[in-house]
Amino acid sequence: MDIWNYLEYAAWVLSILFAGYMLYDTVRVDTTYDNELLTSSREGELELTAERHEI
Amino acid sequence: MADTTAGGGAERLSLLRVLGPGHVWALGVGIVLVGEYMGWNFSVGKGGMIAGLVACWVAGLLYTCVAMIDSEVTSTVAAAGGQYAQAKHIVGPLMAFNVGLFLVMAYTMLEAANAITVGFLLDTVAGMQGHTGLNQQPFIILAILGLAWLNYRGVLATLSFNLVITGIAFIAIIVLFLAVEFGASAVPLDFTAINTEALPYGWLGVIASLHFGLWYYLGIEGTCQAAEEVRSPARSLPYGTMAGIMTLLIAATLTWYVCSGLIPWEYLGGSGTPLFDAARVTGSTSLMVLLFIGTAFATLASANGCINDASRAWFSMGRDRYLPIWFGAVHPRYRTPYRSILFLVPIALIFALGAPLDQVITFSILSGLLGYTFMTFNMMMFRRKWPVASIKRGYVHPFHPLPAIVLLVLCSTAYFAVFLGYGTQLIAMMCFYIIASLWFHFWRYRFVKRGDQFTMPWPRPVGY
Amino acid sequence: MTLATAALLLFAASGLAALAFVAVRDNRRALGERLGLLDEVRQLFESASITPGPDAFPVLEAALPDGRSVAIEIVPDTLVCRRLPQLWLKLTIRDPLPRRRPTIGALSRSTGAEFYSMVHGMPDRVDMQLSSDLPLLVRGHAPSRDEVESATGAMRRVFADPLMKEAAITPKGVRIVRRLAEGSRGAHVLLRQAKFAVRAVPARFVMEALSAAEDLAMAFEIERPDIKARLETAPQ
Repeated sequence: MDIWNYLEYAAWVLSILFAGYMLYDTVRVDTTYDNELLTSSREGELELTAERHEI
Repeated sequence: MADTTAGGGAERLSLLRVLGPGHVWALGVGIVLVGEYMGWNFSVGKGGMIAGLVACWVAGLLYTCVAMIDSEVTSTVAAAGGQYAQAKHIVGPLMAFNVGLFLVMAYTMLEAANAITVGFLLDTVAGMQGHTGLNQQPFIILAILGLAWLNYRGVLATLSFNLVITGIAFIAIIVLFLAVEFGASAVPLDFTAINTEALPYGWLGVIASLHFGLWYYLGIEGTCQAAEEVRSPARSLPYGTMAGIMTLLIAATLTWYVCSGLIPWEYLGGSGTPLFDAARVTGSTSLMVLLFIGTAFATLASANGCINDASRAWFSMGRDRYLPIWFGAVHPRYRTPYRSILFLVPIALIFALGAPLDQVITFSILSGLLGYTFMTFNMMMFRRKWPVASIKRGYVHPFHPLPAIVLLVLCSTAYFAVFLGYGTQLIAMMCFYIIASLWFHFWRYRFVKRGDQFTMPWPRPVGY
Repeated sequence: MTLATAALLLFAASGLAALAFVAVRDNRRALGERLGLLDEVRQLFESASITPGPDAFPVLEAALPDGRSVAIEIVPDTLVCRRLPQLWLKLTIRDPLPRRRPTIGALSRSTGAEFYSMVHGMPDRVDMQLSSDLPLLVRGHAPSRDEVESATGAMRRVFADPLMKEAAITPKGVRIVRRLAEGSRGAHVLLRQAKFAVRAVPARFVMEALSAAEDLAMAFEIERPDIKARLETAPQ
């Protein structure tokens, strides 16, 4: 086991972390927010910001 | 082009923005310079050393035509968005859909090619230290996922690298050239192959090499075209773009010169990292380190830009309803097209892990070529529908229709060049785009809000 | 492993660590600076509160003396392919009670990617030609011809400002989106970073947006015919 083996493992671990973070965040956002809000310009609606969803 | 919004300090800063050194480097570094660090050398494999050089210069001519045509349309269509927005205004949804696809495929394949190169680079370095057979996969995957994550995080992930670091990618090529010229190389430059094996495949080889010659410049129309929102249309030659092409021409020639002189052409034609390999041949450790940094930075910066551009293009198509609106979602916190970014990651991974570098590059080049081909037809239609006097144009490119015709001829030659040796890829790509167009025409078109997309206050086109 | 290799690896590792450290530090600093963007604007209002939005850009909320409320947001926009990042100032003036006026909005240089815009959500296309230079997308909620005509004068004045991106009016309030800053070209082309040369939004910038909003609102104020007449005879 030399340095390159360690680097390989580190690369796998980091990749899984990055992928996991993005997937988790996507699922979280998709379930928290209304799809209409995300895809349309409903964010542009004339609502005060206090009425927006909180994170 | 004064930015008077934020007071005197910002005015001064905006002037610096135009004239500062960052602008000069920005022309050559980043997305496009990576073409010098990998990929172009396959042109040498297809036709020999001289063919590689000829391909470099002919491709420069092709891109000059692209720059001229593109500048005229960009300076006239006020809404930003590059060729995609132009197609929406000038031609119509089906063309815009195809152009959007070209963009996405060209950049996603380029991203995959960059990731493969990172894997090659690390494998070579590991081999130099005695660790043979490095598994490149985790590094390829990490490159793509890491940069995708950075893009996903959008406005919350800001990087500010010193310009000195970013300039290294360009400086490295020059330093290598100068070092070799002044005898720093253990192995001297050897151009005897020019006399003995000038054109190993004859003139057909020269034409065939045009295929990879495009790689030196692929993407420059995007780099120099980063448009402002409020544009004062430039009436003169697009100096920024032309300077970019000149920079690349010089860099490409230097690259060809150094690599062809140091590496036998048969090996050069199959190398994954030609500049780095040239540095290895010189035997100088500092040159190797410099070119390692240059290659790593150029490929990663390029991949980062590709993820950004491809996802924005896919996102725009979703918003325009050319694709399901689901892709047009904006992350409420990071302000990024997160679904588009995520969707394109597996596509890049599949090609980066599953296809060899030359094929991935071919897919990217083909998508780019299709974009340039349609540019010629778009230009003809543009001038016919709205002649020069009928609307206010910024830059009017000279000698029309000569640039469009030259571009069409060179593109056709390039298709033939790709066909020589990569016929399967050519046919596969064509089938893909035909099927996609049919899908769009028969299924998606009903969702498109055509009227909304055309907002330019132009008169009715001639003939309508 | 030889000494040279170990030294090289150490050099590479420390280089990467230094880069990472600089990157994180610069990131923290950039995010911190964002919060102070609206500090100068606070002085325009009697009681303004500034809170950080989810993307670390600030949101200002204040009440006007006549009962209306103002919300100012800063929106970063990096979503158009092949365009520099833009920083938009989004001003919303909300009336406590709905007023008698139509829903009309105009968006200049529309690309379809304006997620901050109300105009894309309005159902009907409106034909309003303001100038031969400006590509404008005008939409509304079935406005009458008279309403469109009343709005045209104000819209023409409002969009004479090249930085104006969107102007919309509804019974509930008025919305103005104006361009605050454009991203640095070098940073964008190299690493697709959005760097804006703005430390603080000038109060004057917000005042100009406020006056544009007032202009638009006045177009439908039949209770103030004197101001309306003065605006209409003003040089354009």
